[in-house]
Amino acid sequence: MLFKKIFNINLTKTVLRLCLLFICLSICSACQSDVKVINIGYIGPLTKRATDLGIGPANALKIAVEEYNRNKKPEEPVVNLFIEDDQWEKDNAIITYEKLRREQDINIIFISNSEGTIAISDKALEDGVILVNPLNNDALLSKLNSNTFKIAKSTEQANSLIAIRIIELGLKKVAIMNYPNDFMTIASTSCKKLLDKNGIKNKIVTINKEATDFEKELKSFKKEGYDAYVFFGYKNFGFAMKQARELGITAPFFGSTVLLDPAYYENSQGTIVGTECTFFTPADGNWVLANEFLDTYKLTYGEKPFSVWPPLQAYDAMNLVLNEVKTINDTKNSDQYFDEWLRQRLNNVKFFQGTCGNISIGKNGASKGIYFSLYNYESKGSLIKVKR
Amino acid sequence: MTKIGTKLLFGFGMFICILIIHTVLGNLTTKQATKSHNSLTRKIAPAVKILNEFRMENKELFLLVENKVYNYKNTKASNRVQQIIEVDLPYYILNLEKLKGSIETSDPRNSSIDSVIKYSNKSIGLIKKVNSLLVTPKDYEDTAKMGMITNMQNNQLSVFSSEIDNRLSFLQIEYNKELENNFSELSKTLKNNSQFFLWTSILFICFGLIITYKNTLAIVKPIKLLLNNIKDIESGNYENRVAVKGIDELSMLGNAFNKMSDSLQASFDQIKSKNKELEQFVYIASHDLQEPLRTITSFTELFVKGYSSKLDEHAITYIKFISQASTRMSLLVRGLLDYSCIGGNKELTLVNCNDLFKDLKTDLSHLILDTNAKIDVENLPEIRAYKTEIRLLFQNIVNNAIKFRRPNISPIIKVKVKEHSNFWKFMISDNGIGIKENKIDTIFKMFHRLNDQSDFEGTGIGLAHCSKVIELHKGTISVDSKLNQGSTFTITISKNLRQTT
Repeated sequence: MLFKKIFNINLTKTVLRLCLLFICLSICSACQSDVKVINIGYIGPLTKRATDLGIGPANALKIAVEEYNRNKKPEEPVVNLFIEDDQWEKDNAIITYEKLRREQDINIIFISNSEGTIAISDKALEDGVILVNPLNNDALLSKLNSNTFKIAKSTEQANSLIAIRIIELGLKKVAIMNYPNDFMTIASTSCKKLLDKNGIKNKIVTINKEATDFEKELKSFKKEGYDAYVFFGYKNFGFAMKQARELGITAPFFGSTVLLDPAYYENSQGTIVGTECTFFTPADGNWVLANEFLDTYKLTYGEKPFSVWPPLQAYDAMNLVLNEVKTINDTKNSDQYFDEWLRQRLNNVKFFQGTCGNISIGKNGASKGIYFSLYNYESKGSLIKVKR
Repeated sequence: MTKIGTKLLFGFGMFICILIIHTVLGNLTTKQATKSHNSLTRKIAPAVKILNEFRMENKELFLLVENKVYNYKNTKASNRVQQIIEVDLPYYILNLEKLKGSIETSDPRNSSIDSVIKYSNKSIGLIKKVNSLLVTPKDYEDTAKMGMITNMQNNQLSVFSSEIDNRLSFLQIEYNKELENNFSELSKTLKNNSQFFLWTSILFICFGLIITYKNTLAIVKPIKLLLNNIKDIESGNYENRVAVKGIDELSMLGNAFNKMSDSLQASFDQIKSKNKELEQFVYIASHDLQEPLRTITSFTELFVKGYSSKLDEHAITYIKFISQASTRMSLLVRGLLDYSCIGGNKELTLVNCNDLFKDLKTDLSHLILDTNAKIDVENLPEIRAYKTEIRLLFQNIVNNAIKFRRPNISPIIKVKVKEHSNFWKFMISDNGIGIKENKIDTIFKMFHRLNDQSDFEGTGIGLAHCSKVIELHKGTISVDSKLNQGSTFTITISKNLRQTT
């Protein structure tokens, strides 16, 4: 009454109106579109070829996503992971990408295969999808569009170690057998470049994808007196190793990052032992975090991955992305596209402590901070660091 | 004086104001503490951490590069060097740039940060050059190349590393000082905050209590006054009035109460006056009626004596009826006269109830003997009462108890008493005919009779007398009865009787 007399306002009505306004504002603010779910896809070789680059990373990505969902705060979005098999073929990569887009409406795609990465990169940009290659990082991939990120070792750095080792051992004539895909071609080229620079004779022979008989090439190399054999390819080169030894070739063998594929050993019938290759183990990265992850992996899947670097890199790549994704509701403007926002966030990552070491991402979307070392194939499934 | 609503609004308003002031002051002081804490946790502590790590990595980098230059076989550290120059150092440089943005331009730390950034970038460039020059073992065999690299290592990289270390050392000292200062400031602020909250809380609680007490008193005091006056009126004192002050609701209530009291007193006085008049009328009427009645009775007797032989049987019967009616009317008029005289004496005295019942038994001895009645009286108190009236009261009740006895059953009357703080409670029970439940309410009314005149003689005035006597004694009278079992009359007599004029 007094209030009404003084202010000429009906207090009850005013309070009711204010309550109504408050409720409306609350509803409006609740209606503001917080991102609740982010769908991530992974395309990798789960069958047929290079499965060490597909199964291990897929498992690692699952662990990272499960850990994120388990520990996330209520306001952070839920992440779903959908996995598809490309059998290490770029054509399959395109098909599976389309499928993931169509059926799961993915916002981010991880892919192991470099050619597959190239094949879908423009489509990903068009769709507003962020593309991450968690295994390879090379100059060719860095030429792709701004939605493509490479959170992995540098292919050139890793494979140039082979050339340096050849120089170090004083070898004079190097035969390089090259599997016809982008990754192995870049490996061969970077190796050749360094050998050329140091005046060491070398020859790259690109073989057929499905080839299992290399006798012709090997006989030719033996005849020409090559004293070092570099196998930049996958498990079928196990046959080449076996055939080389059968032909009496005693020269040292060198290989790429994929030697630990069990099929490689089987195909070589043990002749792979003694081959030097570039590889990555927990000792090359953050020993504590890497072992912690490998223990979790073993606990989850019953065994450790036979090749540790692909899951380690994939785990770091996913965690790095999730580290940004979880901030979406705080950092993304409503008028910003998802890929625009995540691209900016990822380009600003200057220090991420992962299992592979401290990682930063450059403006070209390529990571820095993962460095491979030289290892010797000691016995089946086991490598030992080369003491130099 | 303001209205109660305004008082309450004022009180609550004051409380809210106090709360707001307390919250605002608390917020201001907390803000200061939060500022110190934020500065500590978001700026200084991370800066100290970054500087420590930067310094360590700078030393590590120098040693690793030195090792690389002088010991080509030890290539294990190459990856670590790469990591430091490609990721770690750029990250520390970025953080130093951010740190620089948070300090004033005049701050001496600025130039140190600039130097660290400058020398770090130079170091990175130099190490990249060394890395590109020292790739294969052959490079180590190239004396010209090694000479140049050694020179770079000794004359440039060592200088850069040393400069970075010195500057970082200075920055560490500065930031550690700031860290300590902030810690002590935060601790001081928190202590001050704690004291501030304690004292302001005490002050505000006291203030609040005073306001509450004042407001409560302002409301409760007039209510109490009003209650006392209501009690006075309840006890028959209509003269007291509430002292009215101000314009609040309670004053208005007091005014209304006073008006009601005035009106009540006027009505009461009027009733009293009318009552007096009525009693006067009853007295005069009953007194004046006595004389013609006596004349009628006397002449009727004379008429019977003188003319009974000359009258036939019918005439004698009629005359007898006239005589009986005259006698009954005389009794009724007498009763009315007695009723009007109750309280006429109006002298309060101490009455010994034991003596009273003793006298009463003597007076009723014939009746008691005739009916073989037994009156059992427990030890009774001495009470302050109107002696004649109280005697009449007990006499009427005992008399009724004997009169309304059951056939062939000797009346037994028990008199008990119980003392209460404000009144005496007498209970007189009998084993008589009892009263029908639906008749109980009417027995205290004048001329009401429950039984036929032929069964029990009487005027129907006795219990009306009792009721009036009880009224005179500010008490109550009630009856609890069961037909053919007996009745119990419960009487209360106030202990606080005051002599009325």
